[in-house]
This record gives sequence, structure tokens and C-alpha cells, in this order.
Amino acid sequence: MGCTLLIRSAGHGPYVGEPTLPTLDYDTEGAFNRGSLCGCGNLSLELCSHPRRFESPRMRDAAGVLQEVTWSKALDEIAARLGAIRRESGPGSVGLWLAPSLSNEDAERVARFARLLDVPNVDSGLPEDQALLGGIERAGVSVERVERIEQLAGATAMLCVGDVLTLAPCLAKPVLDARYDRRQNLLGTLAGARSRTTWFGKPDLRCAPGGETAALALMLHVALLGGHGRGVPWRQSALDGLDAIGIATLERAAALRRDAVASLVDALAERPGTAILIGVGFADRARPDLAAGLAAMLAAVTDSRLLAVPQGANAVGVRRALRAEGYPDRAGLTGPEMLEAALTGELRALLLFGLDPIAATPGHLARSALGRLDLLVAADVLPNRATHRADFVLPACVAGEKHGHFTNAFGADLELGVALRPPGEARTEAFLIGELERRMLGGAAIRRVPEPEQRPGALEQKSGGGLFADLDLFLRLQEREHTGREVGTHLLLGRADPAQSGDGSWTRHLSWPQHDTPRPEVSLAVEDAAELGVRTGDQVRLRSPGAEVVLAVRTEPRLPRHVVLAPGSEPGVRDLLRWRLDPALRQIALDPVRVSVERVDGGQP
Amino acid sequence: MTSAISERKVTKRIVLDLDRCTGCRACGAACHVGHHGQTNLVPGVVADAAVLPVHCRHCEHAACVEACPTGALYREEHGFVRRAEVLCIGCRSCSFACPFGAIGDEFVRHVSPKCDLCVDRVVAGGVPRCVASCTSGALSFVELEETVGTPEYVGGRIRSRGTTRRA
Repeated sequence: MGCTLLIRSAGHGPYVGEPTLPTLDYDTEGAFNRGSLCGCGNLSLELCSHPRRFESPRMRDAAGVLQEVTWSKALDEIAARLGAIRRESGPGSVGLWLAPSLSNEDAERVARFARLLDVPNVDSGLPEDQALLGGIERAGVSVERVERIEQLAGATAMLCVGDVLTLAPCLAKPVLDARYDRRQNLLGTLAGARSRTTWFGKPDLRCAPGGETAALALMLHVALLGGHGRGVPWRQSALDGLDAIGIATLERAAALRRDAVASLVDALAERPGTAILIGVGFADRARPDLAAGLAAMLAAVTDSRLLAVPQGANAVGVRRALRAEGYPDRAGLTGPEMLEAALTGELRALLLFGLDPIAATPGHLARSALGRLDLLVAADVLPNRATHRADFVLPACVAGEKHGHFTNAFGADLELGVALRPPGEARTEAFLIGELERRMLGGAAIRRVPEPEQRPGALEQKSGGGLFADLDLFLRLQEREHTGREVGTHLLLGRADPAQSGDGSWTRHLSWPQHDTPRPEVSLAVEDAAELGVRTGDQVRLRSPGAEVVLAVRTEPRLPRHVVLAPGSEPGVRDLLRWRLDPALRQIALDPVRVSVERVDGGQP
Repeated sequence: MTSAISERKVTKRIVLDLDRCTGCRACGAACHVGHHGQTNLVPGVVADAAVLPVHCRHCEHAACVEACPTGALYREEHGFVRRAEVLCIGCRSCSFACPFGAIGDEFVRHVSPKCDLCVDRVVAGGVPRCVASCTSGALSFVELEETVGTPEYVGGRIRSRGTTRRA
């Protein structure tokens, strides 16, 4: 199973089963969490037995209908069309985008294939994960990482940023041990009000929804003003950057007072073995890189260990595998850049490995971009909006159906064996790439691949100053948009959903979530709701030029006036959101969007 | 009849620690997978605050067994209350009779879900799948004597210490 953190270290025993009826034997004597199955493991079980799995290759015919074909026919056609595009428009017109769920070996194989074809455009992962991991690198601070789960279990003070327990349920035991083992233990959480992680946090640390980044900056400022982190070389520049923003601005944006965070900051700095955990999943999705950079700086100042928890099961491993092959570099494009290039016609062919760009990026852009491509190949397990538009759909395997290594969030490589037979004609990415290599390169694939060029780390910028300038701009933008709004408009922020991928909410295959998954809701300030004449449970329509969505209302006491929070993964909300490319990270940054909010009388969302 | 039941009563119970349940639903997923696509564990929805698993207590005097008109529910040799699926006519009498709401009224495969305490694992010395899969350590499988008369344990749950604050 593709557990992000532990996999076999969790103590899972041997798997026994048939493809359609998998059963799992739990080893309750397992080293770390006594045989727990994390969300990723459950997701794999859902996927491997899902009735809508792709079981054979499909090719779009002249009438535009996807028809089942043999692997041989599909691969011959893909190789011919990919080769023709490469000859006509050059290798730069081809792109490959990998899901963070691929094994390290599969990612290396794809990257090597791209390098053999001289294709520069290879990217991996979800844009939010890339921003999170890139933000820590960009901060350029030296911080000790959490390398083993036991280091968390002994922590007496901990800060969780984002919905860490939803992203990585396997962390629940050490985090809750740190919460309950001793009376004076402290667990602070900065996450959405309804997230699973927030339930266990210190209540007076609850910031305004969307104010998590400001809250982290406030904690960093309080730590520096309190005299912590005297050994860090960038202490004065950070203080100057934060002073320029002003502690009052941070307090206002976070809806937190400095004395509310002081006890946790002091505990993090003064107690031994403290930790800061950060993952996506907080209400403020606009700039996870800023939050990640600030968390890294706070960890350095308070001498705490840092753990980044990405959303993708193998985000760290795939990212590392691509970097070993020299990707991404300045000559190539990142995933969001590939979408923009597709719109301008510079990119003509895109191969997707388990990733749906329409779901991974907000707004209309991905949908339009995929429609402009001359060749779209999607290797995936279940239908999604990318496979719906693809010229070729190739049935792929999930973790447990293929052998490979996965890198957990602690940076350890873990081997995963084959436990289940893939359904129908589903094949691994290694098979697909191997066959394409054979068809397109013949003997060339066998020759020794030259070592990748040593390129400067494009994403690494050793400057905390840039981070504070961005933070200042980010807060000013939100405040300006907020205060300078037109009458009747609200500021829309995309909220991360509390649903975890492995609990059945993703595929709706398990029977529990079919009747207890809450319907999508929009959060409104209590005063705004009163002004509109709506209460929790009523419906409102959010409208911006070109898009609208009807959602149920939930009133949120701590939400600032004229700000609305809606689930960013909801297709209608995603259409309302807008993004732009951040030039430093070369990943997406969400811009606040003005929407009108109207009461809907009758009808269901 | 009563003495026969008490002689064979279940010696272990599933207990839920309210302070540690994150509502991740891994228990439901494990139950679903372990029972060939039928989730026998019923979700207890606590307003908007939480979704908690509701387990069958395998009562000494089981109301569901008494209510079943066809004898589909019975107590087997190890003391577990089980269902003979071929005898179940889907009348929902058991669901109405259960005082804990542990038998759902949603039909799967023409029978309503009923926890069998993963008898296949328990008789082999293991623990139920939901306990084994619990990510936060909230579920435990403990001897009955440890729970009866202990103030910490109430109705199959470890009483909240009042430190968990739900949003």
C-alpha cells in the first residue's frame, strides 16, 4: 500500500487476495503504529477494487469517441504521433507531467526517457506541494528535519500548520501522544476551523480563517522580539522585514494577539525535542510557499525540528528522482508553465502520468489548455476530466500492484512489493515507457545514457528578504482588495477540504462517505449572513464574470466581514478562482477573487 | 437460557477513546475491505462536530437476537452475536431493537450491516480490523473486566477528559 509515511515500517503483514476482493492482514506488533492503515493505504484498497477502473487502452476515433484498442495499437499510434510532433516543432513542444504517486523507479524511467528524446519539459507533483516544498528551500535557512517518527512521539510542544492529520493520518498517534502524554504538553494548530487537526489544538491559537500565513509571521516576530534565535545569521534581516510589515498588521490579518502565541513560541524554543509540522490544507491556499518558508524560519529560530507533509503520496521521492536527472531546469517548463505554453501553441503534446491538471489547478486555464493540444495521453486508473479529453487513455497500476521504492515524508526510501494482480490489461508506467522507448528510439534506448548536466538550482534562492517582501505584498493585496472592494462584492478564498483521500471521499466507493460526507459549503461571516438574510443551511450563489456556483451557507464567527471561504476542490468554485505564475517558484499563486453573493430562494445546490 | 449465554459471553470489547478519535474513517474502510465490500461498522454522526464509529457491544442479553423473527441473528460458540445472511429477510427489526444504534438500516447485499467483531481474526488471537487499522490509537480491544464498573469507561467509550475542543 502506498502509505506516505511508513509503508512497511508500519508493520503491514503480507497481503492475500484476489484483484477484486483484496484482504489485508494487519501486523499489530508493527514498529511504529501497531499496524495502522493510513489514508493512502485505504485509497489503494479503494482504487484496486474500484468498479470504474480502466482495464484496457483506449484511443479516440475519428468521431471523437474513445474506443478500446490493444496496447500494441495504442503504443504504435502514440509513438508515431509523438515522433511527428517532435520532428516538426522540436523537443520543446512535448511535455511530461507526473503524479506524485509514481514510484521512484518509474519517475526515473520517465525522466530518462524524456532526456533521451531531449525533451526539456518534465514536472512532477501537485502545484501546491511543489510550492510547499519549494517555499522551504527558498527560505534558505538551516533547519533540522524530523527524520524518524519516534522524534515526534517524544515532543512536549508541537505546532501543526495545515490539516496534517488529514494529510497523513499515520501521524495521529505521535501527534496525539505529544498532546496528551503530559499535562503541560502543548499542541498548537493553525488550520481551518473545521479541520481534523484543529480539534486537538490549543483553542486560543485559532486564527481567522485565511490568516494562517500572517499568524506564522506573527509567531516568528514574537520569537525574534523575545530574544530567541540569537545564533541565526539572518536574524536582523528578518526582524527588519517583519518590522517593515508591522506587528499590528500581522495581528489584524491573523486575528490573533501577540500574547496569545507567546506561550507556544516560548515552549517551542525552550523545551527539548519540539517540532513544527506543515502541510497544505489550511484555509489560505493562496501562497503555501510563504507559509512554508515562515515555518522553516520559525523552526530555525526556536530550534525545533521541521516536517513537511505533502499531499502527494511520493511527492518527495518523485521530485528527488527528477532532480537526479536534471529536471526541472530553467530551459524546461513546470506543469503550470506547460499549460500556459499549450494555450499559446508552443506545447503540442502532453503525456500525463496519473495526474489531472484540471483538478490540480483552479480556474478555466487547464481545461482550455488541454483542449488546444494536438496530442494528449493520459495514463491513469480512473476516469477524470483529463482522461475525458485525452486522445489516448492507458490503464495504469496503483501502489500494491507494482514493485518499486517510495520515499516517505521523513526522507527514507521504502520498498513496496506486488501484492495484487492489476485488473484487465492495466500495466505499469515502466512498461509504457519501455515500449515507447523501443518504438521511438530502437537501439538508442539501450545505449548508455549520458550523465545529466549540472545545472544551478533554479528554485533555490537564498534570501529571506524576498520572502518578507512577498509577504508584505500578499498582506497588502488582501487588505487592499478587502477594504477597496465594490459595494456588494466579497473576497473569495479557496478553502482546502478536510476530506482525506483514503477515507472513501475521493472515489465515493466505500459506503460510509456516501451518506456522511458533508455537502460543499461556503463560509460567511455572521454579519454578512445577517445582511443577506441567510442562515446556516440556506443557499447562496457566488458569481464572478463568466462563472457562478450555488452552495449551502455556513456561518463562521471568526471570519472577517466581506470574505467568503469556499472549498477549492469543488468544480464550480475552482472555476471562480484565478491563478498566476509566481516568477520565483514557477508555480501557481492564487489571487483573491471578487465575487458577488446572492441569496437563492429554493432549489438545491 | 440466560445462564447458557453468560457462560459463553464475550471476554473482550472494543472501546473508543473519545479524545483520540480524529474521525479519519480508516476503521470504516478496513471494515469495508475486510467484509468483501460490506461496511458493518455504523457511523455515528455527532451534529457537525465529528463522525465516530458505533460498535456492536455483543450484549449479554441481545435485543437484536430477541427481535429477529427468523432466527437469522444468533449467538455463536465464541459468544459473538452473528447473522446468518441466508436467513435474513431484511425486516430491520434488529436495527430498531438495538439500543445503541449499532445496526444500521442501510441495506447492503439485502441485509442490514451487523458487526461480527471480525470473529475470524479474534478467534485466532488477533484484534478486529477496525482496531488494527485505527490511525490514532483511539480504538482498543480490552478485557471486559477492565471496563465494567470503571468510571473511565462509559457505554463502550473512554470518557472524554474534557481536553478536546471541537470546532
